[in-house]
Amino acid sequence: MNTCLKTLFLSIMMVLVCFLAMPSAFAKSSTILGSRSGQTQAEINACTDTTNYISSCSSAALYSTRNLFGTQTNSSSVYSAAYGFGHYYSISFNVGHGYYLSDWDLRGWPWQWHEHWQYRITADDGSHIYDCDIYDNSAYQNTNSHKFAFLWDCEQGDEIGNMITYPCGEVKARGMPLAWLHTTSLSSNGYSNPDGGNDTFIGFDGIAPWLSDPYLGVNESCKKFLHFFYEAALMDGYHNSINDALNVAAQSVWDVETFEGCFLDGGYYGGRMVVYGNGGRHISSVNGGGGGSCPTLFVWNGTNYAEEGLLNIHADSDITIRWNIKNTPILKNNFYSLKLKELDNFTSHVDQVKLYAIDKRDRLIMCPLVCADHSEFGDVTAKLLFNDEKRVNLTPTQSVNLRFLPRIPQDKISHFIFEINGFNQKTP
Amino acid sequence: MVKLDMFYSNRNKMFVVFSVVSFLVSLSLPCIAYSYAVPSTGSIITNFLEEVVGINMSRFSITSFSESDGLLSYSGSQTYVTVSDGHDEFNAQLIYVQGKLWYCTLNSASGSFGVGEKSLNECLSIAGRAVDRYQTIFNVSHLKDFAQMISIALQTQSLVVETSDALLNVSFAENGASYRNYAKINMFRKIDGQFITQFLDLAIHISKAGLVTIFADSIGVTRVSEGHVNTSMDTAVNIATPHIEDYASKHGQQLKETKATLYYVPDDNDRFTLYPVWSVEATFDKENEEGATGYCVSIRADTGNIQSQVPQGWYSSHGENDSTNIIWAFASITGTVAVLVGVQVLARRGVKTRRRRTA
Repeated sequence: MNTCLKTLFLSIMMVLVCFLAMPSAFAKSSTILGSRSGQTQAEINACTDTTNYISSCSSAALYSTRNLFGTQTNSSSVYSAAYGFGHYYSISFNVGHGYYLSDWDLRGWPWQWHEHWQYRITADDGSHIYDCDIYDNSAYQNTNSHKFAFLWDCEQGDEIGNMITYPCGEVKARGMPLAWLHTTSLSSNGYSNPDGGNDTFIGFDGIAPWLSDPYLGVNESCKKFLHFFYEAALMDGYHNSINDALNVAAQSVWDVETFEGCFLDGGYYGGRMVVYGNGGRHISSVNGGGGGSCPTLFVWNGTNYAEEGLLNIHADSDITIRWNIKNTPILKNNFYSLKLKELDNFTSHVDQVKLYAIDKRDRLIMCPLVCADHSEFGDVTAKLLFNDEKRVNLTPTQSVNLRFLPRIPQDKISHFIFEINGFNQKTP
Repeated sequence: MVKLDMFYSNRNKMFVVFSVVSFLVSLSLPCIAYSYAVPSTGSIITNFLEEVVGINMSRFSITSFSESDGLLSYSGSQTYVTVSDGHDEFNAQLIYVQGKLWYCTLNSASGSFGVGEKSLNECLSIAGRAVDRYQTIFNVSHLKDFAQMISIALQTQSLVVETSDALLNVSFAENGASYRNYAKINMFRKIDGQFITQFLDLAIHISKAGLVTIFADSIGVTRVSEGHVNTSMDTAVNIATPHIEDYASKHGQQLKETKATLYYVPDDNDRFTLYPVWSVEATFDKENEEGATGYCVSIRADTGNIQSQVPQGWYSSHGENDSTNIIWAFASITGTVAVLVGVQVLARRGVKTRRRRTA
């Protein structure tokens, strides 16, 4: 009896732990910040419109959204935003005055004059929030989390940053990209050379323009730029990466072919917008075409399951999608190991999956599916082998581990293609 | 009966063996390239990709196709197409406005736009073909003169061709570095004798290997309002100046410089109709408490009406030096020196006093 009770208690506890852990692991948060300190009324109005719009787009893209523009933009909310509220996916936006601070100091042995150089943004009450404090107060919870920070403030993209040891012995994180993303492994040009990583930072190297100004004759052009950017990136994030959204915004506001060379990319004196990290990332899986997304494919790369991307099987009935695998699949216990996860709030109905190895003579060679293990239903291999009416449902947070048999030696493989047959009606 | 059972039993065995063998054989056979069923607009898309973009559609097949309506604020619809030959993969995004093509951008999912390097002549030929085929596929004719200008550029080997109402400009990426946007061919229209480089142009970007990576036709989707420039630059400045001075005096600033620029820009409510606007920008002698360093008044050049007026500035144009520590350091150094000097003075006085007493 005692054993039974213990087992029951343990089971309940495990379910509870899973229940509590899952939403946190896969939830998405969007924090919108903005300071009114030292701004004209026209600029405050433009910022209010913009933050409200970003908030709407974030909510539509199923982010847990906090619009903290105004009085709620303080050090505490900035730290929480940089922390991403502990969520696996987080995006943050901030608008307001930014500076760098050059502070000459004589403290500490050998008592030599030295410069402390840090970056800071402004809270709504006019107080300053420093990069080193943001770094210290936003400990990185999820090592594989995905972050996107967009700071519309002067100077906050001057450098990616680094951990600095000053001559006085003080060690501080310097640079807003490091403070918000907790990494310095970021491409210095995430627009032209996206690094393929999980994190992206957009800021300004030098001065940042006001949102209310009519640049190149277009009324409130930067406000419009942000509207189009977030609309494309969040409301049609399935099709638009961050870079695509920058292009769409530049096209829509100033009618230039790409973001490269537009007003914000060096079109004014004293500053330019910079993208660090992976501009090729998608921050939303929402398909502006009325559906799509889901499920997400992961590939075992030898150390972990690397995210490949969203497989668009949006349709009312089965469709087939082929995906060129970008990460190199590595054998795990003699099998290629892939994973399908439902990270969105919709259910995918998967009928068949295939993995092809393409050899160096461009021949497609199918690697047979030998095992499909559903996170809830267990072995579902038989249902995924054939294109029939037997489908596997992937509801939000569920996953299915797939193992495929290698057919040819790895050194003879050029790349892999994953094929999925099924549909997702994008209804909760 | 036994024979019949044996026959059925054998037949089952044969069927199982046959199935297993068939399954194994099917696994060993290389698969045939797969193609996606393209919706009704697919033929236009396929023709466009083949004839304008330059993708060999007999080798590539469409692997995904989707459309969206009215996503962007200006009600543009979009089509997304992925084509693959099993090795290379391209994503094309086409944006339409009122059924007319506005933008087509091509990206490579496999990271390659092919090999080879096109000459000026080849790039112009590709652009000429693209304009020609685009007009046929979409049944439009507004780019006829551009097609002729490309022919002239080919004949004269010119990078710039100008006519009474249009301009053609060809440029190459610096050092030939860009594989995607290697050659850029831009054609601009004139309004009232003035080139409009924004909102009224045709842009064709060509990759190093000869694919059209960007085909953007603003001319086909943009309408120019009928209103002409009835307000002169001086009149516009005169209209704007009282508003600028009013703001400056309220914030204790002096007018430093004023300049006026004529733009043809869309109205807030109509993204695809251009209106002439004078942008009168003034700079002040100093930054005020709101951070404003200037003021801009936008005036419709056809009607003379003020469209908008806003203070101008930046999200902080300078960094800061924290002088607290410097002041503290100077104070402490001065204090230390003063104490040392004081001690020395006192010490000397003490010596002198002792000498006097001794004397």
